[in-house]
Amino acid sequence: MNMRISKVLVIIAVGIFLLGIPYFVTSPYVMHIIIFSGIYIIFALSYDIVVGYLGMLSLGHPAFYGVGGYTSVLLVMKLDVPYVIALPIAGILALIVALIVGFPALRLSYHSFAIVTLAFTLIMRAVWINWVSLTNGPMGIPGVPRPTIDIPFLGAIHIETLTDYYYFILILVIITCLFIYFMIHSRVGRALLSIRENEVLAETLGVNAFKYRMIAFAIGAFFAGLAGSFTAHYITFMGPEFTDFYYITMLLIMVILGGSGTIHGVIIGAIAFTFIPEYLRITPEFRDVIYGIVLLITIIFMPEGIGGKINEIIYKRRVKTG
Amino acid sequence: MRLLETIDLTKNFFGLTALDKVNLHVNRGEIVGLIGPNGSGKTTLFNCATGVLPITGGRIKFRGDDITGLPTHEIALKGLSRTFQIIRIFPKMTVMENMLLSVQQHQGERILSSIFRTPRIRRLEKEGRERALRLLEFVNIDHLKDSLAGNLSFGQHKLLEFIMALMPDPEIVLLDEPAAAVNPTMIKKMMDHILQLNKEGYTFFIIEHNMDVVMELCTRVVVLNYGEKIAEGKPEEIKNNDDVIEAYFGT
Repeated sequence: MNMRISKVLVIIAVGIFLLGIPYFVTSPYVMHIIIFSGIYIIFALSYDIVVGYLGMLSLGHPAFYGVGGYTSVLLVMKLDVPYVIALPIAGILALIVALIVGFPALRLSYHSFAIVTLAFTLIMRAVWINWVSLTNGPMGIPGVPRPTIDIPFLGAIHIETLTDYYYFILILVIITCLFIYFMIHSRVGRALLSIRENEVLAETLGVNAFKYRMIAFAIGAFFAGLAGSFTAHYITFMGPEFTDFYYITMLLIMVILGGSGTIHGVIIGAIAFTFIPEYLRITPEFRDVIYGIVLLITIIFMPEGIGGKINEIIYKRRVKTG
Repeated sequence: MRLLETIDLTKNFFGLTALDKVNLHVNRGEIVGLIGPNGSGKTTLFNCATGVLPITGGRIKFRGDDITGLPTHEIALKGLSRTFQIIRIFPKMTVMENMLLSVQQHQGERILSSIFRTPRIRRLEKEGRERALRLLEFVNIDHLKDSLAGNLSFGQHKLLEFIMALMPDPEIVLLDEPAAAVNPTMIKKMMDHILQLNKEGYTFFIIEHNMDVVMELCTRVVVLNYGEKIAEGKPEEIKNNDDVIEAYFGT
C-alpha cells in the first residue's frame, strides 16, 4: 500500500514538474531544446520498438519521419486539410509505407534487413530531392503553417508560442509512452519478446513471427511519422534533410546508450543526447572530442545503457531489502 | 483414427537423404515411440512434421488435413505441440510468462484489444493463468511461477518445456527425448506424467533413446535407420527384430 501511495506521489510530482516547465524555464533557447527532446523521445521510442523489442537493425526510420513530415505539410498546404486530421494521416501513411517496405524486407535476415532499409531511406531521399513539383526538391518547403487545432464548440487553438508547442509535444509524448508501455506489457509485447529470444520456439508455440514483425515495424513507423509531422510544423520547414544519415546515428546513440528495450532508459537517452551536444557548443574546438568521450564512457560503464543500469540498481536494492 | 500421418515423407539435405519415403502414422490415444541410431532422421522427421524444415517430397497429414508446407505457427495452432531435444524455453521471461505465451495465440489474437486489454482479453489471460497454475502444480514447480525461467535447474527446464507443450490442450504432443540427460527419479516422474496424461486422452509421439522408457511407455514403436523405416510394431516385437538389432549393433 505504501508503495502505491509513493508511486502516486511520484507521478503527481513529475506531472506538476512537467506542467510547470514553461513557467520556470525562461530561456527560449532551452525551451527549444526541451521541445526537441520531446520530439526525439517519440522518435527514439518508436525506433526502439524495432531495434530493442524486435531486435532488427532498421536504417529506414528517418524515412518514416520524412514521410510523416511531407504528408502533413502537403496535406495542410496544398489541400487545406486541418492539422488535427493531417497529423494522424501522417502517422497512418508512414505505417502503410512501413507495411509495404516490411512485406519483403522483414523476411530477410538481420544484415540484409539493415541494407534494404538503408536503401529505402536513400530512395525516399532521392524521391524527395527530385520530385521538385511536389516537394520543391532540395530547397525544401518553407513557410509551413503553425498548427491550428479546431475543437468543436470551443473554437480553434492556435499553436504559436514555445509554451504552446511544449504542451502539444508533451501530450504527444504521453500518448506515445502510454501506448508503447501498454503494448510492451501486453500479449503483443510478450509475443515480440519471444520472437527476439527464440524464433523457432515462438513459431512452435503458434506465434506468427512475420506478422508480429510487421505490426511492430508499422507501429514504430506510425510514431516516427507523428514526430516528423510535429517537427515540420514546429520549425515551419520541411526538406529532404529529414532523412539525413545523421538521424540514424543519433537514434542509435539515444536507443543503445539510453538502454534499448527499456522505456525509461530511452526517454533519458533521448533527453541526454539532445542536451549534451547543444551544451558542448561552448567549446567548438573540442565539441566532437568531448561528445565522443561521453559516448565511450557511457558504453564502457553502462554496456546495457542507462536504462539497463537503472534496472540493475533497482534489482540489487530489491534483493538487499527483500 | 489417424491423427498424424506421413506419406512417403522425404527430406534431402544438399543431396544427403535424411528421410527416405517414410510412411508412418500416430492414432488418437496412442503413445508411439520413434527410435533409431544417431543420425537416423528422427529429429528431422519432427522438424518436417512441425514445419520447421521444408520437406523435399511426400505429404504430411494431421487429422486428415494436408498440412504439407504450412508454416510452423499454423501447424501449432491446429493442435500439434512439441518439445525440443535441446531444451528451448524463454530464459528472460518468468515461468508464468512462458506458460501464458504458450497458450495466447491459441486463444485467438486481436492486436488492438490485446494492447488495450479488453475485458475479453483479461478473461482469457485469467483462464490462461489458472490453467498454467494447474499444470505447474501437476509437475510440482508451481512455487517457481514468478522466477525467471533461466534460473531454473535442468530438470525443471525439462518439466517446464513439457507443460508448455501441454498449455494449449493439444491434440498430439511430440516429445524429443524427454528422458535424455535427466536422473532416474526424474525419468520416473516424466513417465508417470506421460502415462497419466495419456489416460486423460492425450496422444504422444516420442523420440527416445532410453529403451526402458520406450518399452514401458509406448503402445507402438517405429524404427528409423538411415532415414528409412526398417520396422514397426509392439515394443516386444521390436526388441527381437533382427533388422533393428543389426541397425543398432551391426553384425
